[in-house]
Amino acid sequence: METQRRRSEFSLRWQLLVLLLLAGLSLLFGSTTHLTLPVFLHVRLPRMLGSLLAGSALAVAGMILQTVLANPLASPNILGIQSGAGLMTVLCAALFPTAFGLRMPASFLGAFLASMLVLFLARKVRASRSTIVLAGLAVSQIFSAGIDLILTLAPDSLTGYTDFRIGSLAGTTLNRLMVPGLCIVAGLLVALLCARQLELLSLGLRQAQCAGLDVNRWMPGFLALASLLAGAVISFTGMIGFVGLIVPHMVRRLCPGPLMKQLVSCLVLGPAFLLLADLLGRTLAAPYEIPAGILLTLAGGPYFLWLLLKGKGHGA
Amino acid sequence: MIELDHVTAGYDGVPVLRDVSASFRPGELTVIIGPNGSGKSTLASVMMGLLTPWSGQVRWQDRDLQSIPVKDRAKMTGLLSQEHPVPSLSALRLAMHGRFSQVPWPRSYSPEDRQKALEALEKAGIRDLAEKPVSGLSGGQRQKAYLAMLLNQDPEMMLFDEPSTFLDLPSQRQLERTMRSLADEGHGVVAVLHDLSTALKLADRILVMDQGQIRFDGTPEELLKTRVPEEVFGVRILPLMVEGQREYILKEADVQGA
Repeated sequence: METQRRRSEFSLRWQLLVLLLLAGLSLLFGSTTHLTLPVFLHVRLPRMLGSLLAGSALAVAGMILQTVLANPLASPNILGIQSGAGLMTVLCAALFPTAFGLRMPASFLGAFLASMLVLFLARKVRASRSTIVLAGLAVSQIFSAGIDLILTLAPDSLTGYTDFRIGSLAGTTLNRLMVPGLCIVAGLLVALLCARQLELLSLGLRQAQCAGLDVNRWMPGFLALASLLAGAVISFTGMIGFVGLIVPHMVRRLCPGPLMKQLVSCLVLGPAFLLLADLLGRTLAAPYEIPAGILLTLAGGPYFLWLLLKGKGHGA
Repeated sequence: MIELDHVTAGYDGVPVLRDVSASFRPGELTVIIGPNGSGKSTLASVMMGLLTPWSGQVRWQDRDLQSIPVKDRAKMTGLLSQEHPVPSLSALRLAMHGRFSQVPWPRSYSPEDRQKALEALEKAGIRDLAEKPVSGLSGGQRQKAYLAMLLNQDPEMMLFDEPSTFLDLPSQRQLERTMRSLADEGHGVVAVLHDLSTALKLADRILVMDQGQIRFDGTPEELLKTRVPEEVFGVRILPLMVEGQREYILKEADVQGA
């Protein structure tokens, strides 16, 4: 047991090292080779911070959703949370083109309403786990159609629409990060403090209730928390939610153990994954830039498939 | 003490329990038995507060169950179900969660909680598997891990819902002995079983459910004197003495329409 613990400690240290390395590289390299102070302060630093916040928030949101819904397929992008946030953001941009401050609350509201809708549908039919995912998928498609409708009727409402749709960290500024950043840090703290409750939910709703957890309060609470995290991220990166699906699986595979440890690993590996995608996106085809969302899916998709085919259906 | 007062309950508008009244006391081992679909598990869900009755009232220690906070409920009553999801935590961690309601938020479990969980695992007979992840255990071992969680929770009333589904014969006997000793220690033990002869040997008191109602409520001896086994299960019960112990043989009864 002692060696096991040491190995997992080592593994966390190793993860942190990778994260630090990637964060350093992300500050040093980019589309320009001349690193000046303004570039550092206004481009590289916000981008690096944005990756840290977005990666950890999405990974933790994914872990929460997969645990609460007892479904390895649950994640912000599949359950309609992402497109819900996207829809409200686009709606907000179409109705109030100059009110950038409104986009973050709108994004959160969209994410929260979408997750509540999925939960309501699931309750209504006393749904099995696969039904919840299917309902989420349908909700996701409906919201996506809504986004397309708004953008067809008002094509100029969202500048950088492609980046928003794919998900990118380009154009992140410290100002735009401020409010979502605070929400994310607060949300992550709450998630860590409630790790024990979340772990109890992984025993199933009946068992959790009998052990003294008020499931009817905690389950919507956790969904709201995951929505807050995902909604905050989407407000400044666009729809980049794939991180939320693969990182929790990666964590479960690489560092099994109590949920608290897995959440901490999500906090480290989520940003590492996003930093890597963003770094490659900036440097591979420089001076052109490939949005992080594309690389994430191109690299993460096959990796996820490999995890699925290699494993014995863990977490299912 | 759990009391059901004229409880009617069901799912999707279809009643499963109809006007059921019963009470379950500490220090008593009650077995609930009945054919498939007779409402045994629904009764268990209602007793645990997992299903809200349409009418009537469930009381724990003279308090309306609906008015008791969930956290306090766990100190009074616990459940061992027949099926469980497969979490990735260790058996020890699972057993520690038995004391969830007794550890205030957000404090994590102390060495004392750990010690208690280890004792519960010992009692459940899987002390040696403490560090193994529950997902790596067999069905029977998993059931014992959840039993350890319940023993660690140590509520006054304990409900076992068809607990021996995945257990082999020695483990079934072990579980029966555990239920017996829990009742002897003063816990109220309620077990939903489907094996009539086990019920007769084990129970202080038997409840026979049929079509959503309680058909019989009394001791095993009293049950043997009635025609309820023939009418509900279509069997006759023949008590025998084998090597100084009472055994029960079930013989198919020749009743029409059983």
